[in-house]
Amino acid sequence: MKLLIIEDEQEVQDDLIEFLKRENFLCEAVSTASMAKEKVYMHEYDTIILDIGLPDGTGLEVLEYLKKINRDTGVIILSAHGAIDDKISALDLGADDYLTKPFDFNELNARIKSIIRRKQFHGNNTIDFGDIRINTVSHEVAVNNTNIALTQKEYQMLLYFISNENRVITKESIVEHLWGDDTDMFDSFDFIYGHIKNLRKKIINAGGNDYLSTIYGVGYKFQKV
Amino acid sequence: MKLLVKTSLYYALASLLFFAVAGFIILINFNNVIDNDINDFLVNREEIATTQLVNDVPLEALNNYEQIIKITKNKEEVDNLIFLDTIVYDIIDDEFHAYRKLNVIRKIGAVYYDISIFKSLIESNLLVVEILKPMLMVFLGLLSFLLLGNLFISRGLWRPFKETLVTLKNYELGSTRSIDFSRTNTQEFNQLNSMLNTMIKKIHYDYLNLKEFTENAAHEIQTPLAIIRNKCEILLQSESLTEVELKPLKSIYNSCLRLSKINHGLTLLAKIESGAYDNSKKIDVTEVVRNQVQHYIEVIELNGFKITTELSHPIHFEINPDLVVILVSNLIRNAIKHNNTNGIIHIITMPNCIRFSNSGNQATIDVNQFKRFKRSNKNSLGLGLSIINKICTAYHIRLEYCYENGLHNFVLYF
Repeated sequence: MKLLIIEDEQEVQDDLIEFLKRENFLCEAVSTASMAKEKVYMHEYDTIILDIGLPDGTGLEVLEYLKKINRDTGVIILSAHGAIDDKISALDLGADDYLTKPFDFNELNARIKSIIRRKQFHGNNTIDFGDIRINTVSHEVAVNNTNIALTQKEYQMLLYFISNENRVITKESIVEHLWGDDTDMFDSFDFIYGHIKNLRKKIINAGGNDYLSTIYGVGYKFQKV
Repeated sequence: MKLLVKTSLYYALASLLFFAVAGFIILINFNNVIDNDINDFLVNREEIATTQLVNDVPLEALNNYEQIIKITKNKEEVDNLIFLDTIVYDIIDDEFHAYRKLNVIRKIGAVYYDISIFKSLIESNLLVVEILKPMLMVFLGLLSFLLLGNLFISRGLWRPFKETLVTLKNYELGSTRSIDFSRTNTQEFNQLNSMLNTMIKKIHYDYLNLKEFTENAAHEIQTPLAIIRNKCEILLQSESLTEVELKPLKSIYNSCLRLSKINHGLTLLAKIESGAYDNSKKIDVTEVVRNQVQHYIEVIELNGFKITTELSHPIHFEINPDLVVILVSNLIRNAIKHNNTNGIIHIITMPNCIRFSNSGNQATIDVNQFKRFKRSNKNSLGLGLSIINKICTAYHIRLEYCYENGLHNFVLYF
């Protein structure tokens, strides 16, 4: 998988590269709009991570350029502005997703994978993880070829875990993924235990492995045994 | 009390006092003059009578209704003039009249005469009244002239001041329209205007500076926050960290999350204040409430609250579509955050108003709650009510709060 990171803040760029490389992506990074245009003209990328505020223009310009040269690339916008109209115009210009800074790496990871799934697996909508098989179109989950019934939130959680395989995921990160901006509605995130417990039970009851381990005081890790 | 009324009242009171004192003095003077005049007249008449007695005019010829002369045996107090105020019965008018009487005993030859001379006081009393009447009229005329004059003059003199007041009233801090005071030929008002002008320019400048600073700060903070958060995440992935190291790291991570939330809230507030959301559309607020309730139903149920709604009345209102969502969602979030265990939430729409009610422990929320960072519960950011209030103010929506039967009620009147 080839990614292009367009981000002018060196520190953020470095972190993104380090993180995405660890997720086995091939990464290239530029920090200006003009260099970004050059890159997308010459190469094809699976996904572009695009910062809106660039020193020589806005990320929206790059987006327009992509549209002009007819590149069918997944684009995730990163923005320091939380403005809703910004988001709408970005999505109108053909961006696939939008993340507001500061963002969660796991969230970014999940979204990149979701875009790649949508763009690449034409006709093949299944994800296999050990003895779990997920159909991303019908939202059906099967363990050892027997379907299990998951709630909407359990399904989203499972997908999030699988996207962030082998990574530590905090409770906060899970809640933020499932409820977005409404995370502050909850006095504590303890209710998430219930959701996780149910998911675990459903997989184990269907004869699946227990992939989830608890990292004390931090969160969870989903990994193949 | 208005300044004009006040000055007029003082003028009237002062003139009244002055005229009362002056009138009193004039009256006393008049009375003295008239008194002396009457006494002189009586003395004169008595001298004539004495002369007539000396010239042997018979007593009968001398007596009339204003002059009584009798032979007396009283030999004491000869030549002692006694003036007396008395009343005499008038047969013609059938009433008593005030008279001044002069009584004296004179010795003419060997005979003592008791001479009494009378003079009616009616004319002199009438005279005083006749003199006082025009005086009173002059006083009243002068007083009304003074008051009216003061009214007109003051009105003219204070007009620039009133114009300044109107200009100040219409001025809105942060608006791009510059303030413009009209010139006058009164030095003091010009001074006032120029001082106000300087002051407002300074306030405006400071305000813009502060606003710019807030916006910049909020924006610039996002990137460092992103870096902190991502570094924390990288560290959290590390396998080699011990619990002692993980605990503070988790704390940094959580604080960073909280900080970015506060920052988002503040940016939003600054944006509403600066009028960045100006494209309004006619929107059915009830529909927005319906959607938001749908959006939050899961969170509400997870928190163990019961929600009931009566959303039968559509409310059409001209407002920015994003802000109305923020407004409604903040009201619902507020109802969730400040609720009891097993609490209830009730939302009802009526023609032109919506009421959000939720159960809650705290007896009452004071108006300070609408300001930033006044919060009752440690989990909330303290910006929700402030955002609600800002949006309501911006769109002239009347927001009322009351606490009744254990329910916090927020009512919006569109």
